[in-house]
Amino acid sequence: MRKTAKKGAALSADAVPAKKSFLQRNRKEIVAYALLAFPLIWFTIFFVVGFVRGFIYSLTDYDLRFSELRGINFNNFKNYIDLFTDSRVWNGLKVSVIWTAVMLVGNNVLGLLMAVLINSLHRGKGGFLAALYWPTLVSAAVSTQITLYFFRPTADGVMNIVIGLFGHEPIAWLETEDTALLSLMLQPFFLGFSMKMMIYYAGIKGIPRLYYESASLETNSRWHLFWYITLPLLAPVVFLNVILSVIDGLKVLAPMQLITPDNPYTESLVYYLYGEAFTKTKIGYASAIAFFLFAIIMLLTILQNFAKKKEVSYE
Amino acid sequence: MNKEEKSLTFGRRLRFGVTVAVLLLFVILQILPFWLSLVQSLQPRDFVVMNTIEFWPQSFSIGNYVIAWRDADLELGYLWSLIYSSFFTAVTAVICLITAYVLEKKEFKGRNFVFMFFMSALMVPGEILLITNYLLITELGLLKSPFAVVMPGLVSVFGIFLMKQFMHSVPDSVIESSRLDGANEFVIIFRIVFPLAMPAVATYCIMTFTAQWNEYLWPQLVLSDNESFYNVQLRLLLYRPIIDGNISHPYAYALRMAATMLTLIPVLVVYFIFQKHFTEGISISGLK
Repeated sequence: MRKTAKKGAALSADAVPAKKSFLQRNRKEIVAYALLAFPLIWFTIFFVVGFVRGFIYSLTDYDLRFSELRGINFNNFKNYIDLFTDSRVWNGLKVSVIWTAVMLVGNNVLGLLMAVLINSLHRGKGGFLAALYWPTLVSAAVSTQITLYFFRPTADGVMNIVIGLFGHEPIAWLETEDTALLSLMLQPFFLGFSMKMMIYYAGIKGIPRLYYESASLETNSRWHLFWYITLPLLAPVVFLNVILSVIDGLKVLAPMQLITPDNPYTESLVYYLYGEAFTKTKIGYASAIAFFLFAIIMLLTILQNFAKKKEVSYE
Repeated sequence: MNKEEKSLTFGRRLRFGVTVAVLLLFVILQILPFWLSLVQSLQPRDFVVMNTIEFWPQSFSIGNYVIAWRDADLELGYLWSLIYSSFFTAVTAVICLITAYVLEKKEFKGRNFVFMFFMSALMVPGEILLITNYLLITELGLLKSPFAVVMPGLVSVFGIFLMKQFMHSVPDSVIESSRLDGANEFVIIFRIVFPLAMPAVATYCIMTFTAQWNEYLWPQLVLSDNESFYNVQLRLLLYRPIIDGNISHPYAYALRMAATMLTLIPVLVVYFIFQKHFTEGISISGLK
């Protein structure tokens, strides 16, 4: 505004440049924000307000059952202090971390292996990608039913028949301390690599052929090409996949909630949080656990970004 | 052909053979649990036997499917799943299309700020929102109503990002020339931008539709015990057939696997028809 006024003054003393109405001057902004009004408002309500409210509640004793009686009161970070001495929080964290570590290794190693193998084919790439990617569309409810069918405690359960071939007695897979979490992890460990495979494959496609052509003058070994070209150039994709594995892994809920409800040996952190919030209605405490998890994930994301700066560059 | 060349081609063939064998092994391993479940689901009651793993059904029968479809109320589940998925997909696609267009093709003050504002959602974990959005739905009096199922996620940051990335390749001159012809914003969005951004929109729609079909956590939470609005996933989770007073009777598992297959099959059909769109989603969004 001030600029136009100055220009106008410079051109001629009695010019009338700033006489446009507010609507005319800000037409672009008005049109843009009118179109963005619904998404902005909706997003603010369901994301921003939700986030801020969650944080405020995490500082209070909010409990749905008692809030009408005694209101919602700030309680001097009691929730955050309590969660550090709550053995179920640490047990939940332990379960979530075990799950995360197992999936991180299994899915990334197999995902990368599958991507490299498919990329080395001359034809049939699309076919194998399609044939290995479909399990991402299997819902939690479907895999719950199938896991329950495979790990039946009776002698005619599929897994019990398998171990029976080796002369082992039937096991109550989903109830026993040693086998409960193992049973939940078996299938996703070996077969949950589809998404990672696809991201690795996209990453490998993005590596210029030039690098391989010049390197093939030096060596004939596929292993050397993988170790000295593919893997270093894929480092950013590996970082991305690792951080995605960690974030997804620490949030694990569905298998624990649906396949082994109320089993302390498989109670992940988010499943504990879920129970505190919706079974016990302790909104304040559950929100504090959610923000505790949020802090861990933020910390790991920052560390990942820090590590990313040290990555190899062949440019 | 000299000796060296011969061994080289042999080595190549061996390597190719091993590669294909490993890939096929994993293709089969991924199918195996579903195949065994499918076999179980096709066994008629008299053929369900104990203590063996059947790799091929002794008799094909869709009788179990008829029983499971009826007993699990899958018809109603399918109906609501279709309503939730179609409504959600249509509305969210339009919102994302408009938002992505404004953020990519229009110049206005605060554009980058608005974009960063939306992107910040990627940092917020859903668990926090699960609690507060549940409270919000309760306060709005929408608990146990079908509206609650589709409301919170209507503005999809992933969708905005995906379409915005794609619109980058739509030339500005096309939009400018139609604007000079007197087209208003809505004509530009739906007549010009929409057809040009079709691949990204289609990819987003198919991914969203199947994701919504597979959703269980949020619907379970907000619908609570109001079974009449349950989607197909909740119907499946609810289904616990009892045979001869026994919940773990082998035939009860045959029925459960039939219901499971009925829940899974529509998504697989969509996948194999539109398979390219699923893989393209990853490359369009630049997730690499």
